[in-house]
Amino acid sequence: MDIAKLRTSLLSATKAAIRSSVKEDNLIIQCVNSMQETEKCINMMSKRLREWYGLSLPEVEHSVEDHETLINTVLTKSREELLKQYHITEPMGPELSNKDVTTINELAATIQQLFALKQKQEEYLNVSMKSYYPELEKTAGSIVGAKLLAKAGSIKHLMEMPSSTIQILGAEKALFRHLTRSSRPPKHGIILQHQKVAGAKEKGKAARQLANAIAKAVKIDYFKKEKA
Amino acid sequence: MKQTSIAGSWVIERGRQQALAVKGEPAFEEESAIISGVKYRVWDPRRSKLAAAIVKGAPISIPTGSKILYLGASHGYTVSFLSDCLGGDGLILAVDIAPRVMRDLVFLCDQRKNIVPLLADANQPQLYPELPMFDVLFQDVAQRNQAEILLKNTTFLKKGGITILAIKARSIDITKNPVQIFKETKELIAKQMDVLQMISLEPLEKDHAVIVARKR
Ligand SMILES: C[S@@+](CC[C@H](N)C(=O)[O-])C[C@H]1O[C@@H](n2cnc3c(N)ncnc32)[C@H](O)[C@@H]1O
Repeated sequence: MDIAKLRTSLLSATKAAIRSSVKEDNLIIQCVNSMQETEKCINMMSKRLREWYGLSLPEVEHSVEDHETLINTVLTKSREELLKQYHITEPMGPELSNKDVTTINELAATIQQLFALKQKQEEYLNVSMKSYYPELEKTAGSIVGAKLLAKAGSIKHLMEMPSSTIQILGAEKALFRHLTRSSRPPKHGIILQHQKVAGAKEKGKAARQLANAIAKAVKIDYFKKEKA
Repeated sequence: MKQTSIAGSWVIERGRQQALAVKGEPAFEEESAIISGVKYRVWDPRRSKLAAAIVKGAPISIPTGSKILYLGASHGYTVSFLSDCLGGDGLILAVDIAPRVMRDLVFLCDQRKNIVPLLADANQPQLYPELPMFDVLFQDVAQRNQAEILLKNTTFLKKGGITILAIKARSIDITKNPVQIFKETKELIAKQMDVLQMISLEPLEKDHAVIVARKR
């Protein structure tokens, strides 16, 4: 057998197969993973901003709990305005130079952009999930649905999973602890983030029901696509 | 420096541990070692089950120019070293089912002409394109039915050729005792092959073993 020929033909077949393996689920998974990373970055950078800004106006930093609101405040209000608004007569922080304020504001502006990025990613997921996996979107919501896809790795893997696995997807560590050290089995993973489970009295039962519904929904979406 | 049973590779001491050394261009930002003025790539037995098996003394002989069917090539870490060992007349047919890792493998093929990539499911060898016969069948796929997959693929192995199976106990059954799993897997293989040796990869790889066998 001519190895050089085999190599040329398999190289090109492999490239073609890789090209055609890229599907909407790959794109959704990248986006939801990126969104979660954006979230992490926002948290990390917001904590730093709080520490930094807190040198100068700790009272404001302390009273505004929400990161995004604090950032808007930092960027739009002057020290005088804030001292008045929050009735601060004896501020614990000194007035900073323009140079210091500018650097802090640059960080705040960047975090603000990350918030905007996260929002756009959520919108993208919403649109994509609705158009490609409408049943999954209906039962799980676009974000939880996309996170399940990401954990499973592909729509095919998610479709092949029994609902008991879907129920605890995202709780792998707890499952492993259960199997090896006979601790209690986990009742829910990612789907705990769904309103129907998070808000339920009996979370275990709600998780089981939702996982059942999701398993069915994914099968419908998958086979509709297969036929098309 | 002791030559191993894989052509073009040597055992070296790295601190308190052993590793393998191979001549060639770096491919994975791996460490290099300079021995008597010559630069070698360091093949880390903690990253490669084949290297671990060699370090632990598995009876695996791979001469220059061998043709290897490699199932579960992943990003090509082990494949890249084998490529340097086998030389221009050798062949590594690198199979993996995951498009993402195949992407890296295709880039690896740019510089190494004795690697041929194949995106395929090792569980369905009947769907492979037409292939030559191989001297060695190596498998590291972390699947439940590892032994079955190996046996199916021996149709592409020459008579007397060897198979090397890396078993990860956890991917077969995470609740079972690894030793039991290794024993059962060995029995399955022994039905159709002459088992040469089974070697545990501890402490280099936890709950992993390698079974070396010969086609009758
Ligand atoms: C543990 S990694 C192999 C690491 C590699 N042997 C090395 O030493 O660099 C297992 C690989 O097997 C692949 N795999 C799993 N199931 C497979 C199958 N049915 N057919 C082919 N490859 C498979 C996975 O995609 C993964 O890349």
